[in-house]
Formats: sequence, C-alpha cells, structure tokens
Amino acid sequence: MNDVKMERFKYDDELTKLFIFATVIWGFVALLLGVTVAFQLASWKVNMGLEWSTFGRLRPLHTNAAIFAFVGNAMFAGIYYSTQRLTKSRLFSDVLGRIHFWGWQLIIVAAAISLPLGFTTGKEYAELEWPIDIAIAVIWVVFAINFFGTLVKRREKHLYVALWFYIATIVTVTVLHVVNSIAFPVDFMKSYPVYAGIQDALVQWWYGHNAVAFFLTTPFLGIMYYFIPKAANRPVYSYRLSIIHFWSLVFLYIWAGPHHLLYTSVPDWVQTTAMVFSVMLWMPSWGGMINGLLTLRGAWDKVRTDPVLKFMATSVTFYGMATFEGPLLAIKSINGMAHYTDWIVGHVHSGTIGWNYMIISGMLYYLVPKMWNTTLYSVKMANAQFWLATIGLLLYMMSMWTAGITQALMWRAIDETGKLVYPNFIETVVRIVPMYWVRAFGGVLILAGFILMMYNLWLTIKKSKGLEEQEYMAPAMEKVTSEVNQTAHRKLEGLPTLFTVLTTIAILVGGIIEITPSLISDTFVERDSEIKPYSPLEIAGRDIFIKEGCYVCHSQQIRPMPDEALRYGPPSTAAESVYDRPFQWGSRRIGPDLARVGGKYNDMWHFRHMYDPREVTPKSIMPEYTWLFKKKFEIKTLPKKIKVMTALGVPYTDHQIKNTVLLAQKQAFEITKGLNVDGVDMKMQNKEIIALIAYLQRLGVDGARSRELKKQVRSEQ
Amino acid sequence: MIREFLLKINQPWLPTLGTALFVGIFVGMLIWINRRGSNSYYEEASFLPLDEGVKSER
Ligand code: HEC
Repeated sequence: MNDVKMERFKYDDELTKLFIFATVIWGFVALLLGVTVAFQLASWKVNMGLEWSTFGRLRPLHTNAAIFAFVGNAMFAGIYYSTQRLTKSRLFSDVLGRIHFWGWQLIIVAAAISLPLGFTTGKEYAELEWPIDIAIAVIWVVFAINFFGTLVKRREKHLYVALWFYIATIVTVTVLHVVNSIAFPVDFMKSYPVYAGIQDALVQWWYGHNAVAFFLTTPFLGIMYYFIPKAANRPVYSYRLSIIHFWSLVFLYIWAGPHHLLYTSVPDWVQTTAMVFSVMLWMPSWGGMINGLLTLRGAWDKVRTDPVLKFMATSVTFYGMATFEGPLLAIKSINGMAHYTDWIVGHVHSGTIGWNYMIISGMLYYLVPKMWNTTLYSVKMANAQFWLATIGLLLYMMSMWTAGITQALMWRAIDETGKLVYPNFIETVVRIVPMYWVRAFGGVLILAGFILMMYNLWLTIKKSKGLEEQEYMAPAMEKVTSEVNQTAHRKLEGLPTLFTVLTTIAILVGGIIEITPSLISDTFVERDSEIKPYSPLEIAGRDIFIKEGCYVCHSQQIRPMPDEALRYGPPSTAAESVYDRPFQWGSRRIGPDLARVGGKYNDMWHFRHMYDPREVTPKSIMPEYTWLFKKKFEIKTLPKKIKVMTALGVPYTDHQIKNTVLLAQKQAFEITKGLNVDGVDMKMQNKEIIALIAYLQRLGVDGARSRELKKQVRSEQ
Repeated sequence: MIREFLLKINQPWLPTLGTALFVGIFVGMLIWINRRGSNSYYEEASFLPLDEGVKSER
C-alpha cells in the first residue's frame, strides 16, 4: 500500500459558502412571504389594495421562493459540499460552479419580479414564464455537468448512497421540468401550454407531485445519508436498507402523481393506480426514516445537546409523519374529504417546514462552524430556534387540520330533507378564520426562529479567526481499482453512467405509464360538439384570471359527490375543459368552485363583487380588485393569442381569426351596455373587469347547454 | 398498432401489473443485497462519509 501515490487537492468550499449565504437570505424572504400570505387570509386588509401584493400573486411567489430559492440553494450547498468529500475530489469546474450560483440567483430575482407583476403560466409550482423556464433548464444542465464531471474525476471508486439520490434528483428534475414546461410563446412573457384540460392536468400533477419527490425529498435524503453519520460520527445504520430505500422510492414515487386528481374527470384506472402506488410509497419512506433514526443509536445523549443532531432527528421524524399522512390522504375516501381543504396545506408544511426547514437548519449548524473553523456562537440560541420552529409548526399543523376537517364537514353536511346545511359558502369561510390567525401566529414563531439562526450563524462567522484553505490527500483512483476482489455490484456502483441509466429507467417505467393516459387522452375524452372555444374577449378575461392567480383560491372542477352537485351543479366532465390552456382546476377552495358560476349571478353582481367583495358578501376574505376597473384589457395581443391557440389545434373560425379585435370590442360593448342600465359608465367597456366578467359568465355554460340538449334528445326518443 | 396497444392500456389491471413488477424488483433486491460475501463490502461502503481524505500536513 505504501507505494500508492497520494494526490494533493483542495475542496472548493467557497462555492458552498456562497450557497449557504443564499440559503439563509432566501429562506428569510420565503418565510416572510409565507407569514404575509397567512395574514392575508386572516384579514383581507393585509392584501394592501395593491395589485402586486394580493394573495393571488404573492402566494405563488411564496411557494416558488420556498421551493426553488430556499430549499434549492440549501440543496446545492449540501450537494456540493458532500459530493466533493464523498468523491475525494475538487469540483469538476470552479467556473461552472460560479455560473450555477449566479445564474440560479438571477432566476430567483427574475421570479421575484415577474410573479408579483402577474407574469405567470398559472400552473402551480411551475408558474414561471418561458424565458425563465429556459434559463432554469440551462443552469440545471450546468449543475449536472459540474456534478457528473466531479463523479468522473473522483478518487473514490464507490459511489456512496447519498450520491445516488443526487443522481436521481438531477435526472428526474430535468425530465419533469422539460416535459411540463413545453409551451407556445405569445410574446416575451406570455405563453400557452401545448397541453390542454385533462392532459395539462395530468402532466402538471405528474410534475407537481414529483417536484415534491425529487426536489424537496431525494436530495435531502442524500443529505441525510451524509450529514447524520457525519454529525453522529458513526456509519449509517444499514447500508443494505439504504439500497432498498433508494430503488423502491425512486421506482414508486413517480406513479403517484394523479393522487392530486382523485374524483376529477381523470379516468378511474389512473386514479386507482395512483392510489395504490401512493400507499405502497409509505414503505420505502419509512425504511428511510428508520435508517436515519437508527443511525443515531448509541448517540441519543448527543441528540439532546447537539443542535445539529437535534434538528436532524426532528426533521427525520417529521419526514416519517408527512410520509404517513401522504399515503393516507391518497386513499380515495379520505381524499374525498381532505382535497381542496386546508388539511392539504397543513400536510405540505409538515413536509417543507418539518422536514426541509429542520434538516436545512441542522445542516447549517454543522457546516458553518466547520467551514469557518470555529464553534457555534450560541447553543442556547439554536435551542430556542428549535423550540420556536417546533411549536410554530405544531400550531400550524393543528390549526390546518382543524380548519380542513371543519371545511370538509360543513361543505358536505346535508340535512334529512336532502338540502345543504350550509348553502352559503361564506359561512364555512367565517368559521375557519380564527384558525387562519392561529396558523399565522405559528408562522411568526417559525420565522422568528429563523431570524435567531441567521443572527447566531452571523456571530459564529464573525468570531472565526479565519481559515487557511485546507489541503487534502488521497490516492488516485486507478490505484484503487487495481485492487483485486471486485464484485459485480461494485462495478455497477462504480459506473456513474450505467447507474444513471438504471435510475432513469426506474423513473421512466412509472413516468411513461403515468404520462401515457395524458398522451392518449383524446381517446377517452368524449368529444362534445356543444363545448365551444372561448371567445376572444373571454380569452382576454381568462388571462386576467390567470394573471391575478384566482386559481389559488378557486377550483374549477366539480367532483361527483352529492354535496357538490347540490352546491355547484353536475360533476365536471373531461370534455368541458378541452380548450383550457392552461387548465384551471385548482387545488384548493378558499372560495367556492367556479366551474359553473356562469349565469349564477348577473353581470352587475360580479362588477360590484370584484370591486368590493364585502359589499355583496359581508365578511368575505376575497381581496378587492380595484385596478381591474382602471386598467384596459390587452387587446393588441389578442389576435396573436387566437393565432397561437389555433396553431395548438383550437378550432376557431376564419371569422374569429380575422376579426378578433372587433369581436372582442363588440362583446365588451354589449356587456357594458347591460351594466349601463345600473349606472355604469360606457367608458368602462375597454377595462379589464369587462373581459373578466365575460369569462366568468361563460364558465359551465356550454356544459349546461349540452346536458339540456341530451335531455331533449332522450325525451324525444 | 401502437394506438391499439395504448387503448388497451385503459384497463384496471394496470395497478396490479405495477404492483407485481414492484414486488418482483423488491424481492430481487432483497436477494441481491444479501448475497454471500457482501458483508465486508457494505461495511466498508457505510464508512465512506466518515473519511474525507487525509489532511495534508504541509
Ligand atoms: C384569498 C382568496 C381569494 C382570491 C385570491 C380570489 N377569491 Fe374569489 N372568493 C373568495 C371567497 C372566500 C369567496 C366567497 C365569498 C364571496 O362571495 O366573496 C369568493 C367568491 C368569489 C365568487 C363568487 C362565487 C360564488 O359562487 O358565489 C367569484 C365569482 C369569485 N370569487 C371570483 C374571483 C376571481 C375572478 C378572482 C381573481 C381575480 C378571485 N375570486 C380571487 C376568495 C378568493
């Protein structure tokens, strides 16, 4: 062994440090936004009456900031730090690392500017418009090159299990992002997806669910497998279990996406598949949790005193809780109750706060003292953060459980005469507002804890006496490989390419089977000639609906349940959304479903409601949209929009294509004339509110006509 | 033909097939990780994070 040549090298820790700074700064921003939107639901006044600060625009900003800015930067810090050490080699390229870092921050800034301005695709967690999507793809490729380049020049033959999770992350996120973001641009910041209706829904939730899996979960499982052994200074409990954990999780996760679409117009067999696989997912998730927790065996005393282990053990526990609750919520009958309610929001936060925030805090408490060559400034402060976050999160989860179950019970309550017990949706809103206050308070505690951590880490860095860059030595890999006794598996794990291919196959099996239904959706979407494309003005109105983020509070998908039939009308059919680009089924009902709101009220009702919801519905928590009464709806881009739609296969007539602007103006004139009777000035006819009313009044109308016709045909027979 | 095939996928046996596939892979994995002589190998692998290379004393 002695004649093995040792190579000297240094780790690129400056890059990790940059990502650590970004994590802390964006984490603060994401949490602050979260607290803000939480208060907006408790009191509508917090919307501040400005268009760029309303709930519909800030909520997507909060989710994007939390996922891509906070968790994203933390993931890169953790991956770059641990990958270098696990491969005993410096990163492939310093320059690519810097491009990755600054590129990612630019993307975040672009998101932070464009989302409040209303540039959005209207697809949850994929709201960013196409130029930013392209930038994300490019930077992701840079990251991939840097990561795989490092694997290639590694000095350690074996790829430790953490690296497998990173590989799965990089591969899958690429596939998800590209497939879900394919769109036709209308102009620089507006596009329409190539998918429509049910197809768009399936692709979106395949993406949405797996973004949770492969952005929020797998990279952090890798981080868990690296940092828990490191902090506890003992190897992982069972390496064998980690292998099972990895392959089962990667194989199963990808199938579960449509559990976000249970009871919708998606075919039954797709729903059943998603449910079965979601329940099976419980198994590997708990395998991972057990493996993480048992790694701490014999180190439990340290969990009490060491903030790093305390945060990590708690995060893994919350991971176990969230991955128990997830499969539970995917069971159809439970989902029927919980879907669209705040329960889901509670569930998401037990994941993002309980798992991500906690493990990231643990990682930062490990990395900062180590990288700045000092000790943590204050363990007490870290403990205080721990309790603030834990209590805050418990308040959050309990209030959302209560709110969700209250909503579910009130929505579906039917009396003995077969009528809804709470026919006015607002009654159910008013009942949960106190829970929104509790939740917001929980959020404040979590944020306060984070601020403590920022301060603590800052003082830790300040007391560091500086650090010379440490040089390391390890034998070059050729020498290691020449050792005998290579088993087949070792070869397998030693070959990143083969490994990447196998991982890709594992995710593609489920992916393809899951995406197939959406690709062949024409075969099971019953065509309905009564469902007609939106008129040009309605398209303009629809784009305002998307821009304002109405979908974060309103669903457009009625499920086949007695109470929904009573409250909203007959269940939505797949045919009804064939022209919806993007689909706007929504995932939550802070306000009532809008799929059949067309014709429910007159135009004047909407006119007044949008200006001041509380004038027509006292105690409403919907924001006011006063600017829609001042701004003109976009008419210049309309012809282009109709052309793009036509290119995507929407059957507009020649007349509609040639006279887009005229038709829109005419319809706007008619609507305003109707409002004029009640004293609305004719000058309003070019304002956004008119286009929005046109759209709202169209919702569900074609479906109703179609049902009417079918009924007539049946009675004639 | 592809279309025919895709249409046939529209069947309730899919979850069962998926489950069977998974169970197969799972059992295969169990056998694989417990193959004879793998003990020392996994032991060694599990210690990887604890070793970051030797610090150079220069
Ligand atoms: C903060 C969540 C929230 C947002 C954002 C929101 N709404 Fe609402 N909306 C509500 C609530 C709550 C109600 C029920 C109380 C009421 O009638 O105001 C409601 C009711 C409605 C209704 C009446 C539905 C019915 O059947 O009675 C319409 C129409 C409506 N909203 C349209 C919109 C549009 C259009 C937007 C986007 C510009 C929007 N809402 C944004 C919460 C919201």
